[in-house]
Amino acid sequence: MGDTFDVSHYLGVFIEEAKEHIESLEENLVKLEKEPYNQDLIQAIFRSFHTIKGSSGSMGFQQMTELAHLLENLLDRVRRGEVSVSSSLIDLLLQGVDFLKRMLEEITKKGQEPDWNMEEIFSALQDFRGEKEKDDSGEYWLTVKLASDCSMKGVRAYLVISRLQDSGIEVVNTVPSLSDLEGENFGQSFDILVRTALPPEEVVKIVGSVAEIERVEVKEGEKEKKNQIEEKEEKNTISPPGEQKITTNLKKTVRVDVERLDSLLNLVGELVIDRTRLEDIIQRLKDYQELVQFREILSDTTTHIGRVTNDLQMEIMKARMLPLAEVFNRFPRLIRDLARQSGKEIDFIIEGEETELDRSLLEEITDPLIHLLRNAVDHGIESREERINKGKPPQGKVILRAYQEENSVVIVVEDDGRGLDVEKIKDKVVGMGLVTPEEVSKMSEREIVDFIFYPGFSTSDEVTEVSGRGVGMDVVKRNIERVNGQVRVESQLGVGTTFYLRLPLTLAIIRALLVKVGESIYSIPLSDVVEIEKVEKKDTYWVNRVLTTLFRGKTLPLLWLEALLDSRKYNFISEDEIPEVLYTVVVSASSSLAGLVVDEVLGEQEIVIKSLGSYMRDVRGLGGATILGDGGISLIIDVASLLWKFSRAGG
Amino acid sequence: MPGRIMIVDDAAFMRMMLKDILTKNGYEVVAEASNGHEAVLKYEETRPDLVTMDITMPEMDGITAVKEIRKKDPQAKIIMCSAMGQQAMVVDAIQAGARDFIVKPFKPDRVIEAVKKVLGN
Repeated sequence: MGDTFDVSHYLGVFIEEAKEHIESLEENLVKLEKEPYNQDLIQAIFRSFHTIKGSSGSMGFQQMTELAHLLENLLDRVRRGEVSVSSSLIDLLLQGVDFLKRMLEEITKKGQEPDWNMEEIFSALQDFRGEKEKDDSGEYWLTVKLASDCSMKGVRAYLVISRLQDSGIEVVNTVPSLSDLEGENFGQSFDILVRTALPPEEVVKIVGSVAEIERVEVKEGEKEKKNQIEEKEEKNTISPPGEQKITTNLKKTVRVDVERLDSLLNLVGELVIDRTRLEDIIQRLKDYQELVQFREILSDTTTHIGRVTNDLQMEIMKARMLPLAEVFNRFPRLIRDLARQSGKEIDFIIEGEETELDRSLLEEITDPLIHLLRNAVDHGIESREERINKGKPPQGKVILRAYQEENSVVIVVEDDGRGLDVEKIKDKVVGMGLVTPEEVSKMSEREIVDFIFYPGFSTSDEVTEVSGRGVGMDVVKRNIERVNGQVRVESQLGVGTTFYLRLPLTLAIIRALLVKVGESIYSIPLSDVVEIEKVEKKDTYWVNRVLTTLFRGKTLPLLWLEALLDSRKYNFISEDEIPEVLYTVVVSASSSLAGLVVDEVLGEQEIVIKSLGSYMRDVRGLGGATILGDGGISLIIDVASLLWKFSRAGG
Repeated sequence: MPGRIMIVDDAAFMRMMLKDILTKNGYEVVAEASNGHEAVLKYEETRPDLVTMDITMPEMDGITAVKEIRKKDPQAKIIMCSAMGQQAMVVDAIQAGARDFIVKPFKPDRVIEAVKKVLGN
């Protein structure tokens, strides 16, 4: 009764598993291009294709099975050394993986595989011949050092290059340039970029067969650096050495619907609220002497509930955590494609991909990261010629790094490209009428650079396919700030640009400072609070119609929280309306400080963030709501957008 | 393992010096020629493992001799002997198929290094 056997309830597992394999395939294939002789990688890729073939066959997806089968066959030929790893091979394999991916998407949507004409890819896979001589595998740099008493250095260099070419090795580039080499305009050593299928040892041997050469080194940047990183990682984490770099995704796991986790976390949130309510009741019982005994019992129980909910909360949060690798692993492919498109050479390094982050955050940061990486490749890294002229290594470097710092995760996107041109930004902001030339001249470099986050801002002169449409950095910033994160940029002209994204570990529960303004209680995320100050009226000054005070030697604008949220002009306050003492919560967002004047500071509490719901979208200044111990509702202040609102209102 | 070498140079002094250096290091000098024409003929006769070839010589210069010899034996291994200032000619010789070059005044170890490398030993 084989054909009535119902496989449909395996569909979910099949899709999940196939997706994982496709992801690791993309990652491993890109890796293979750089390490064409890595047998472990070849095996891992082979196994992934094999698994997809097997499971899609069981599900009855014939086209997919056929495709996986052809991919597996091709890999088998690679494994047996019949076909060597080349860019064109990797291109074809990635193309095949793309097909698998899109088929899987269709299957996910419709439950059955699409009826596509696959002839082209099928025959491309079947007919693939390894082009042994041309366009095979890797490029790498050689450093050739001539003997110190070498005469006719130019001819020597020429001989080295022609010897390489005679051996079928393509000389892609040299530093210094060929004409400089032949004109003897160089010191004792020079660099050659070769493209060849031969392993580096062979190439070194060929160069070494020329006389009067002291040393030949392979600078295969990629390998060296990778090794260093691996060493570092092995020091930091306890994991078996060697194989862990290859993505196999074979951890023992139970698949849980994300919605289930979400609702669990919601329930824990309710428990946290109840705990707070209990604490509130205990406080109130203080007034009843005769109930002292009950109060103690209640207090004990509440403490216990508190501990348990804390643990529960932590565990569920951990269950929601995913390693950043989930997102990062897609990027080598992205960078490879971008680099090929733009004709640049990029050394892409990922560090700290094991750092974990809440699943929902992971989704939120994907687009901003793609944007930053695209910018880095497209605008950051210069063309090869430009880099060589500047005396930089022709291969640009883009680093994506993540690490945990206390209660946040920091993601760094770094490139060694041209850097941000402060003068250009100045011209642009003045041109856009954002600030006057006088104001600009007073601004720090940091403040000027921050303008790149301004809506509609772009310093790129030309618009390319991938980026530079004038939308972007402001969206990146908004997305990150929406999840209570922060973005910062550092840049040095000609040296490179670094973006820092700081993200909370989770979205759902935060510590907050409760403040009272009029009749309402507001929650200010503690991560935004710098300090609580009691400012006396005599220490305040009017600057540009904004009441300010001095805080750590800097002027601090004092903002009436109530007025701000009401969208009233903060400067309605007249001299005699100012109380003698101003309770001020000093907050910071995107490196600007402000003081929020409140009536009363109530204290610190853990709060569960509840969304305001779709009917109240885009409430600037508010980030959500929470339920307090007494059942009341407190609105959560979104400091970043509040300050943004202020700067808008202030002009 | 050393090999059989032909020395081509129009100056007897240079031939003597090179011969000394080579024989002291265990190589056998199987032929000597004082111009390119003679070199081509003697190469055919003796089929040496390696040739040291001066560039400027009467009758037929070194570069033409390299071309002629390589025509007859594409595998011929030839080291150019050049004087300072002959860069362009050395490049021509390399394009014609010379495997390496040494620069006068000769330093024995440099000569031996080049010979060894070209012979692959």
